[in-house]
Formats: sequence, C-alpha cells, structure tokens
Amino acid sequence: MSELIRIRKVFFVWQEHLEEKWLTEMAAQGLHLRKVGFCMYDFEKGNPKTVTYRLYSHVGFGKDTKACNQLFEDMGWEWMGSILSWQYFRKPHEEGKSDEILSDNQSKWEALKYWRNVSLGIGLLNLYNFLNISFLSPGLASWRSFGMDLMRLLVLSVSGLLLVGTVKIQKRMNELKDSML
Amino acid sequence: MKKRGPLTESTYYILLALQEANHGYGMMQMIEQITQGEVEIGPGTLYGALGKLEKQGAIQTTTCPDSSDERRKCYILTDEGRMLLVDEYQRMKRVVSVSDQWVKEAVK
Repeated sequence: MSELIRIRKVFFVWQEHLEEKWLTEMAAQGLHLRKVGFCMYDFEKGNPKTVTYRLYSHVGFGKDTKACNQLFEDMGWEWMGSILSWQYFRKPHEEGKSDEILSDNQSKWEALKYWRNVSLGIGLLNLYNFLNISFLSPGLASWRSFGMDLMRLLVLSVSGLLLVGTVKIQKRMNELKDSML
Repeated sequence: MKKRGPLTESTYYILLALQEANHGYGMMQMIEQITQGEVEIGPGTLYGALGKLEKQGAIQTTTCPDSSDERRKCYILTDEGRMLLVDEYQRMKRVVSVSDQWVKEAVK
C-alpha cells in the first residue's frame, strides 16, 4: 500500500482551468489523485507522470451520467470523482492525441455560460438574503447580536465572491467570443 | 424544429455518423476515420451536442445493434435530423460552388 497524502484546499467553481493545472502539476511531482471530496483531495505517492486532468459538467444533458461517464471511459478518460456538478477525469498524455474534452468554441462557451448562470443566480440570492436580514425585513433588520452580524457578514461575503466569479466567467466568455471568426 | 444558421462542424459530423444507430464512441471512431484524423471531437463536446440534438428532435435514442453495448446509449437520426443534414450539405455545396471561380487566385 503506497503512501496517501491528504490536501485540503478551496476550489472556486469558476476556476476549473486552475484546478486542472494544479492536479497536472501534482502528477508531475509524483502525486496522483485517488479521491476528491468537498475541499479535500487524496493523493497517492508514485513516480512523476505526464497526466491530463479535465473537469466536466453535464451541461444540458439531463441526468444520464452513467452513459456519459461510459463515453469518457471509452475515450480513455478515467473518472476520479466529483465535486458539486464537476466531474473529474484524467488521462495519460499521449503525443499527437488531443487532450481536450471540449473540442470547439461553441461547447466551451456553453460550459462557461452554465457556470456563469449558476454563479450569478446563487450570488443574487445571497445578496437578496443579505439585504433582507440587514435592511428590508423590519423584524430581522433590527435584530442586533454578534451572531446575527456574523451571519450578515458571511452572506455578504458569499454574495460578493460569487458576483466577482460571475464577472470573471463573463470575461472569459467575451474573450472566447472575440476569438471566434 | 427551429431553423438556425449553419451547423457547427461537430454537429454536422455527428448527424452524418447517425444515419445508422450508433453510440458515442462509435461516432467518434467513424468521424476520425472518415476525416482521416483531421476532426477529433472531444467527449464533452459530443455529449453536449447529443443532448441538444435529442431535445430538438433531430435524433432519438434507440436500441444498440450490438448487445454487448448495453451500458452505452445509442442514437439514430429522425426524419427531421435527416432533413437538417441534407439542408446543411446542400448549403455547403452552394457555398463551395459560388466561391469556386472566385477563390482560384487565392488557392494558387
């Protein structure tokens, strides 16, 4: 049984490209993903390898994850687990073979749009909650306590984070659109 | 089905590969083979496109011709899908025939 290393790390849903890069760099150092969980990654220590990691969401595809994962498997991708609706896949790098799971701009754009909408929706919901408990609802707004203030700060931070994320995804969508002829 | 602009290259090849019942992996192999490796469709792009085409009624699920494929989902063109394929084929043919005499200088 080889050595397992557990790393705890935050992953923002709009940073899937950084997540892929990070996992690929870990593999280059000989740390190979065994299991993913919420803010938790188990790695197995081994020889450094050139491996490609990709995250994929079943955008607009209903609920048939089984058939989808089967297709990825057929194409040489190993399913590693999932966080929220991100599915983690990996494949050994092959010279001259494509490492992309999204092979055209249209599908890349649609994947970004899905996460932008999720991010925007939950961001606005949290913003509404913040306004509600701080100003709009007379009962809640007049409730002064440390716990309540902490709650307000937390809800505002989550909202701010997600709205910044929304802007970042939108920027990537715009860049992609600009590159299409 | 709403008529939209030109199909993406991936969508066109997927329709082309679904004139007979086929699963995702079979489509990829066929597309790679007929384009001599020039067109490689990623599994994410393929699955996204299949979902969309099914929703729009251009393709439908069907039983796989090979019973060993039971874990895979097979699709086939509907009449509407076949029309979409033919329309796009004819559109591209028109584009090529219109440009033929004008593009010669550039190709030289």
